[in-house]
Amino acid sequence: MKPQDFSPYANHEEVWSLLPWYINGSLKAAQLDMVRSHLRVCLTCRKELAAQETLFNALRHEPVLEISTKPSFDRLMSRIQEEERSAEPAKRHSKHGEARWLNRLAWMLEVFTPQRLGLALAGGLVALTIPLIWQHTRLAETHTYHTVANPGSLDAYTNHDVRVIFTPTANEQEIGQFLQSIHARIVEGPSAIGLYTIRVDGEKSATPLSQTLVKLRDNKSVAFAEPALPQATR
Amino acid sequence: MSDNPTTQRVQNSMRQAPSGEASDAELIALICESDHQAFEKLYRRYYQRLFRFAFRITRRLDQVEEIINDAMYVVWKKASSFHSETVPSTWIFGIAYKKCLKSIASRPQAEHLEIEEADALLPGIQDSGLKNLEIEDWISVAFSRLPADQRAVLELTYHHGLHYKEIAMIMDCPENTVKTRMFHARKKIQSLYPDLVVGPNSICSGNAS
Repeated sequence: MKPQDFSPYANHEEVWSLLPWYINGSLKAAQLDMVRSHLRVCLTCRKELAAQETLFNALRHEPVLEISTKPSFDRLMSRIQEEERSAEPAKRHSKHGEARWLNRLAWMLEVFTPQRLGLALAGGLVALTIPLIWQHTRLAETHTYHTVANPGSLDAYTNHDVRVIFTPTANEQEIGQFLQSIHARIVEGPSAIGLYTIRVDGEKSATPLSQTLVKLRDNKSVAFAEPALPQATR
Repeated sequence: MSDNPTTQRVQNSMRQAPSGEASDAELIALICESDHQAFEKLYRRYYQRLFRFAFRITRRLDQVEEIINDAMYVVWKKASSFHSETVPSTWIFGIAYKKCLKSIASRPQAEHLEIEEADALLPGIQDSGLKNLEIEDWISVAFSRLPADQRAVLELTYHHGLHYKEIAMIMDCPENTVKTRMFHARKKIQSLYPDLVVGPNSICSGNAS
């Protein structure tokens, strides 16, 4: 076995590559000591250090121009506000839809007494059975499917991506904290219907996607959660 | 040999928050609640730094504002996805770096200075009274000869004082890739300016012990 070489010359290449970070003062103690020891004995690295210091001093030079941020910020805010305004009708439409649903529910409770409901169910079952039997044969031939929420190309998605709709009451902070707890981040959205694509960090999260989906669906802030890529059918 | 004096002076310019004011992370938390004032404060705090960074990477003044606003737009929209364990400046510069690359990729053709033009801007051959301008010029020429990823590593190391680990996070690449990019940048600059070591910092003034 080769004995370990403690000569300050031994780390020449490593020290040479670390010189920029020695100059900017960001090296940690162990690396700093190694660079200092080597510089005491290596003329090549000391020459390179001097050259890099020239470059460093030139690049550190601050621009003298005072730039006003106000016009740029105003342009950005106009863009954001314009987008928020265009998103408003979609939100209003959604709220209006909720009210309409409640009215319909009240009407249904009034009209459908238990006797009427029994008759309606029997008729409904017959009507539903025939198309279901017919559709079953077609579904068995299909290997992959696109959801309504995911009608386009799937090339941009990975096996760690999940499509999520949050409840209207969930605020951004709650969502942010929850996503952080499952090592996920938003990579797309929201769409016009409030759909987001989130990506689970495969390196940080050892949890299988199926369990992450369970966590998502159990969370009160989540109304809908499905994998972005279709799962293989058996 | 005495310790390099610069190592004691240089501070990481990305981490300086004005005393008594909300930190970057606190501002981002407020932005999650659609706080426009917090967003403006963060925008003002980063504008100059992003301006210089975007210009160094793209070398196109006409693109800089669009890059900054595209990056800060992402900060506004995705503030809730910010991880508290990340340094805010690393997150913001990471977004800006991606926007720079996108801007460069959308250009029809990259511009290059011819080597004859570069010769005219070599250090040491102009009037010494124009030293600052001269420095800017030869740095501009040097940067024009480097690819964007190497320019970014030089800028983040020498201007922003970042460790290679933080640069790797901003550029979303392994740490060794950062070192390799720095290696190539240094070699390229060395070939452009073999007499880079001039003045009091020259090794000629010191002795190896």
